[in-house]
Amino acid sequence: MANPVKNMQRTIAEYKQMSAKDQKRFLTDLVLNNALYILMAIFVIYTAVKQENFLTLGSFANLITQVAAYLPLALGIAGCIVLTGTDLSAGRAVGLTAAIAGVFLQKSDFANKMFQNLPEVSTGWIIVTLFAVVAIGAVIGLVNGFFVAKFSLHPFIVTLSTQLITYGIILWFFALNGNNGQPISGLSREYKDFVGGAMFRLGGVAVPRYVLYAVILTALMWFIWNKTTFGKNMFAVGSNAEAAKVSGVNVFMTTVLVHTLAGAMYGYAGFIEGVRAGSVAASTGLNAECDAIAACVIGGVSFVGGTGKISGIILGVFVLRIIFVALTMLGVDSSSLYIIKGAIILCACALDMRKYLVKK
Amino acid sequence: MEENRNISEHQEEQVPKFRGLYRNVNISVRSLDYIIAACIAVILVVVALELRNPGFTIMFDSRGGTDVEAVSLMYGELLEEPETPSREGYVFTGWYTDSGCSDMWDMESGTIQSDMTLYAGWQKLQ
Amino acid sequence: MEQNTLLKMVGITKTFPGVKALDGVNLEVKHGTVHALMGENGAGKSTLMKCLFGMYAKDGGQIYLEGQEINFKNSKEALDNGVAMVHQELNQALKRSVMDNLWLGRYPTIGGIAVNEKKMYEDTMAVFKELDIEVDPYRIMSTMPVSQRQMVEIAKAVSYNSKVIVFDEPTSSLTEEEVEHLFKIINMLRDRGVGIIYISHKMAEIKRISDYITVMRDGKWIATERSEDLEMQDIIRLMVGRELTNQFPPKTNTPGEVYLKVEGITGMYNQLKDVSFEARRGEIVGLAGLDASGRTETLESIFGIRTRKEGKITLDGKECLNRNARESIKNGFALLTEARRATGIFGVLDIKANTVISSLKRHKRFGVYLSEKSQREDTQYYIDAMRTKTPSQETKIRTLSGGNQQKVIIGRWLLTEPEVLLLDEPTRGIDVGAKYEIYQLILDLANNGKTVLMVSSEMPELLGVCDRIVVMSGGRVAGEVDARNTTQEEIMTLAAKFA
Repeated sequence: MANPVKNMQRTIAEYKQMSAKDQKRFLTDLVLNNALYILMAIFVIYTAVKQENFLTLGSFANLITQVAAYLPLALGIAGCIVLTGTDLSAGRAVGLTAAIAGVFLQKSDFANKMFQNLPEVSTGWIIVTLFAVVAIGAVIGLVNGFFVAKFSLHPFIVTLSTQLITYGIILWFFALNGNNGQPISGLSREYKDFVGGAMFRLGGVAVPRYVLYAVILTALMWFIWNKTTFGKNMFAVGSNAEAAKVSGVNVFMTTVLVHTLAGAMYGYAGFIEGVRAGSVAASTGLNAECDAIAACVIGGVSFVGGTGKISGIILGVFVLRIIFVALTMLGVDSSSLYIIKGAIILCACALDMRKYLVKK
Repeated sequence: MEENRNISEHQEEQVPKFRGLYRNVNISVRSLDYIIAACIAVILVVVALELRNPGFTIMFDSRGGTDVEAVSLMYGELLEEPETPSREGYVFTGWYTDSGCSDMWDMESGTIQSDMTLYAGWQKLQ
Repeated sequence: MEQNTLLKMVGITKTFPGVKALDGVNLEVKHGTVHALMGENGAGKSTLMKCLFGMYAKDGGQIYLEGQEINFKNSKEALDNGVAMVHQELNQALKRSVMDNLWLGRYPTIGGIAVNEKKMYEDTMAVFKELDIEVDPYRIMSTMPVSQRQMVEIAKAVSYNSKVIVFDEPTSSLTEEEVEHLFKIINMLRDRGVGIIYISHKMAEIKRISDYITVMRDGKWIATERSEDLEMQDIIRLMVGRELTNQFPPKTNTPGEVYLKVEGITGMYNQLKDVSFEARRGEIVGLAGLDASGRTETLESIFGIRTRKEGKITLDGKECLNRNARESIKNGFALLTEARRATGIFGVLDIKANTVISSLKRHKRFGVYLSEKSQREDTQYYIDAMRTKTPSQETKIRTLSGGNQQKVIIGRWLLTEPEVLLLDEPTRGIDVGAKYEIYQLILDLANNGKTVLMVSSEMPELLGVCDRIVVMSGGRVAGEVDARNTTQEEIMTLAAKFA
């Protein structure tokens, strides 16, 4: 593993020694196992030919901005997948926290301001809001985790329930104070600056602050996954919950904490989502978990449980975003992107299983 | 417990069993290959169909004013100012990205990123 | 070709990437004989059978059934042609009835549509009567013990009028009495001219039941002999490829003062009733008994992963509550579980993660951070100390052999610095050579003053390793014997006391 060049040389040497039949099998394996990367390469090359402004610094800036926006959700959900579960409530949790953050941080002179008596928006108030929405996200995660761990319910069922419940709360929330379901807009300048203010420009495209936040979060998650007892316990529980119990791992606590941490990530994602979209609607965050799950599976966080790396998740988010940026530039509209997303998830799962089967 | 009692003495030789979400999966590598190929094919077909008629649709919601026709544009293009709608008793203030009319679309520098709807802003005549 | 040859496998070869699993293996089964297939783990017995049943495609060689070359694509095709297998791991529809399972996929019908329940019942009874099995055909599979489910599996094989039946470790979950019954059935099948392939680790059984013995080692055919021409020592020599003079290391430990006291353990959800015994420092206490006599439950109750209704555990005069595994570990207990794959290893994780999982506290720095260096050191220490054969610390544990996996788990427990080790079937599914090393380890632990409680179904193992044996029966302690001057008969009598 340590030396990719040497590895490559060895692989080539081994390949030369194989029989014709084995060579063919080796090549099919190679193509199939990397199907999504090859697909990505095709799109990139095609787009680069068709659109001269695709391979530019500007679109790279655009790409990392998008990755930074989608990464936190994937980092959160990945923990649930490591525990052989998943989380369907992520998108709605983002919607709820985005709405709350939006309302807290509306312009004070905005005509349709939902709550008139909130304090003036300042950096302190923004940070209070950030902690508040992260806490709300964590509570949603805590509920998920509690039911999964305490009653051994399948995460699909639990998180489907919380997804619906959260959506109900969102609809309530949008009906408060005679708002009547209108999107929340008129976000304050301070809030927009705090999240989306330009740090620097790449090829004329501004790189917002939340790219930096995403880097910090990723480092934090890497530390938690690899260097803490909680991280080790998470992998142990995901790999074999029974054995973990016998080995003295607190399976209940670990499961609850993994979901809570995921929830906190959704809270953060909601915090930046409002600024990214300009306003928050009841449909904000819809299906966001699908992108996150797809990215995790592409990145090798297997549904088998107990496996996955932070670097893999980053790679997965990048691959997915590159494909979508390329397709957007080609003018493929969002309805088709849903079909493509679905096919990519299926394909990624099949690849995941295939790797697991062939490893023997 | 009982199912676990008979620990296999030949673990290394066994076909690996799926765990986790895949624990009930029983499928051959060959079938998986077909699924992968089919998924890739679907993606390529959808993209190919889309590329025959690429572009994004920009819809205009005149919100009570006269209708404005939608336009189709490519990624990164600038939107040209469409005809100005009119409405009895109101003055048109511009096109907004949200129905709350807080963010005005910048016709000079706003490039098209995806399908979108713009909302007409109106101010009541005194 | 001889007249009475039933099944013949010639020069079977099978290669997996990097491993030659089978290398020109021959096997010849005659009409009306029991042919034992023996070999250590990984010798290729199962791979050979999987080639026969088409679960693996063989790379070379031929298989003949009654002179006809055959090449089954799956076990269904094999079954239709009269080659059946009684699996070690039963694949049955547990929520269905006995006869549903028996006739699965070939239900007798009325007019091709409705299932003929009456005929199914009668046919089932006929087969059961023939085999002298007493099972209600309407009973739901999951309500029956493993041994009876196995009988159903055998009945199924017979009902296909099979010419060849493969038994894969059939006695591993049977009591003595059930083994007798199984042997009666096997003898009957033999008299009918059925060829039987019998895979087992238990020498005594093989000597009793088989006519021929084929020994495999490292994917190669080593020898085929008439059973009466081979002594047990010969078989071991052929299997291991070297002389094993002693099955057990010399006993060197000397028990000290009483350390662990278990008083009146009664289970909440299991059969345990008033289980009491003591164990000394540096003593190895064996727990003997039949299946379901409560041995495993006793260990798991002491360790706190099964709920106790009553009972007291004292260590050195101090009471230990042991309400869950974490508390027990803190109190100095360690439990090596019986089902290694189900509750022992973390298959997809590497050796390092598997080793340090129970002792992460040791590596904590500044309250949160886990030191990589100290984890590596601990792991390496136990790889060396146990002579675990592994390419690296990063190797996934499921790729190791059973014996090496067991060593890793023992290492995991030793890192928690336990005073009392609870070992449940520590050598199950481990090959002969590795067993000796595990025994040596257990003795070393006792020599270091640890208290060891050991459950085993293999009587000679208990007699060879333990100082004292507590015999359990029907959830109760039936008696205690000194391992040095007792006999298997005495233990068996005690084991049947409350059964």
